[in-house]
Amino acid sequence: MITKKALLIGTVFASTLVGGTGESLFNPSIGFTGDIVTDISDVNGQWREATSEGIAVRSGELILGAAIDPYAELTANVNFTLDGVELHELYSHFHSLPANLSLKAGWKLAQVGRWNQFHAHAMPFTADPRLLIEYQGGHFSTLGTELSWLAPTPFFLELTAGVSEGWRAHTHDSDPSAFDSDLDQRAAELGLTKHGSHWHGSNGEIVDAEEIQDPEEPITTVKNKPIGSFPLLGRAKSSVQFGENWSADLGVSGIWRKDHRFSNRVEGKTYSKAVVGSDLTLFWHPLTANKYRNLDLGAEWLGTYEENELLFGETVLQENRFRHGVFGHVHYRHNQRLHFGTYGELFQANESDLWLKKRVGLFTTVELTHYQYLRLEGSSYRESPNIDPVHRLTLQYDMSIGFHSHGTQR
Amino acid sequence: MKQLLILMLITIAGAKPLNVVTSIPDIADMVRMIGGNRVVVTSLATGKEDLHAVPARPNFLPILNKADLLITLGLDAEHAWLPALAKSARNPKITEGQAGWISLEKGITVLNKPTTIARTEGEQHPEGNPHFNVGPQAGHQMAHNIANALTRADPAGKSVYSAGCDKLCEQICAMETILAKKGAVLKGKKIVAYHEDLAYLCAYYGMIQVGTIEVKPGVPPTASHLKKIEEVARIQKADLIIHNQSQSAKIPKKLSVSTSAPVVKIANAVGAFEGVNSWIELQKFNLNQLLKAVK
Repeated sequence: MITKKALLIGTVFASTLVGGTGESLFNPSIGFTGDIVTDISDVNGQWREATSEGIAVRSGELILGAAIDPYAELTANVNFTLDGVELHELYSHFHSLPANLSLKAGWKLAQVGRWNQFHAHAMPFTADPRLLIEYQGGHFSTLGTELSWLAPTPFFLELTAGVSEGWRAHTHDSDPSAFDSDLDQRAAELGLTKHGSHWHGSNGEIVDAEEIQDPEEPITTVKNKPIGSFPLLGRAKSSVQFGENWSADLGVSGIWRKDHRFSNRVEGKTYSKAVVGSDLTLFWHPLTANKYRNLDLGAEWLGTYEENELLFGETVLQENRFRHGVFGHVHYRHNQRLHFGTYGELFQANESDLWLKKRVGLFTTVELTHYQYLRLEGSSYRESPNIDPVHRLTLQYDMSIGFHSHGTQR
Repeated sequence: MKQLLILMLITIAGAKPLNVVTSIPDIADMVRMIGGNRVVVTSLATGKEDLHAVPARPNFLPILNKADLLITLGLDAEHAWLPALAKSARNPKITEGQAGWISLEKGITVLNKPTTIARTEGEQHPEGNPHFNVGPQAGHQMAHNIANALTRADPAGKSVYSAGCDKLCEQICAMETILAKKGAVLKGKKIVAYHEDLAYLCAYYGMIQVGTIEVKPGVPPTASHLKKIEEVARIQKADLIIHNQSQSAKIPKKLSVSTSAPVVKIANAVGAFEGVNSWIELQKFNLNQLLKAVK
């Protein structure tokens, strides 16, 4: 099996064989990945009516990479969707600094957690863990630098520390939602029933929109950023080998931002946010059969600590919230074409630690070759205790050509 | 006293063996034979794996981090897993293109150089077939390339490496005599291979490859392709269906039932089976497997 990156390097060599010019050898490696999904769900639960979000081109990733000079490489990842173009990653990697150090500088998926570093098309299932979206806002990206140190130990141990310009996260996924707006969702989570432009409480009292949302709630961004609003992040990861066929990767990570929210009521008052996590993935790669049969299973735990403002009459109080949850998966490759597996997640909602959000799914993937696959996934997501879970069937088609910068993930 | 201490340190530093990491055990075996006590050798792959699908484990990184030399087959054989690991190992001297990254293809008569380069042709090796370790004919050149690489990295050991190479080449010559004699019966035998990895073995013994189970290199077989290859094997009267330890035995067995050609399981690297501990043993083992099936 040759990775997409390898195939591209092969193509570069090929240009010399067929009389390519020297200039072509200096061109960067190029790759493109298309990720398309469609679905059917019963989001209008009470009538069990099948609806679809249509066909979504979640991403068309253009990947470019090349050595800048003897010291660093540049990687760029530009994401095209039907709604526009956005820069996903643009960073330089100084891979061989003295003292076993390496440095990444620019805009990139942060080295925190396990699934944070995967693009949606590189995961064995169709969509991001909702846990990531709930606590981080999606895949957390560093706009800054990350310094990694490979410990001079006989086993693998890598420590990474980084600083980012802001709390930046994204996801390509959307869930078919039972709510028309965030306000509706918040009302439902408070146990209110919608009636035209207002809501009713459990005793029939009328509740207006102003009572549901706080117009003076703390904000997360300011024009001139204080240094305290630069998130700091860190990760330690290691790997353990059990005989020839089994191994485990494990890691602990954290992101901390001192000034995450700025009070509109108390001048100078800020509220912090932290996300901590640990992950363990077990791999079964039978050496003689690895090309066509293997297994990985794991769990990632995330916890989020957030300070926020609470109004008690005229008194402004600080509320400290801690929420946590876990995402687990099993992924089995049965032969060169067929993979299947399952996942499940259970986590406390951002809105209330008494409410658990639950999601389970089953997926199967058929690979035509290493470069294109079709995936079918069935999932059930209970977002709120006050509404029915949404059952969803998702079909994903992915295809790749050329270079890809995620070649070393496993 | 201070001078004596410095001298001792230099002596100790000079005596430090060359830390050589190899992609596969075939190369490690040859390095050990040629380098003797002047080298410490570690192979990343065990020899049981498919050469293109070695699991890229993080625990390879500390090994690569300390390497003086990284010796590979070359011709993109290890491209699926090794270059990215070497780059992550924080050891600039062994990254691809640097002095410590050694490819052994130099001077080897490379087979199967593609005339058409296209993604439609599967997972191609644009510079030619990299599986030259599987055939016996590349042994001398591999040994010389290794000795040259060790000498470049450690000029003081030139005489040791030269003597080690001569000794290994003598053993290869002796092996070749046996292989040529015993393997003569294989000439003209028609074979079906699983993957395009038997070119050198076929060329050495004069066997003729009439087809492959894979649709194209790296592209898994489809039902229609298997039907076609079954027909080809029957019309061409294939004598053997050959696969190695890392390829599924299921399809070769099925094909064997429908074509009556026996299945031969060979080793594609040292360490693939118990008892295959050296490159010379690998060649003898594979010949014996072929002969057993032919008889």
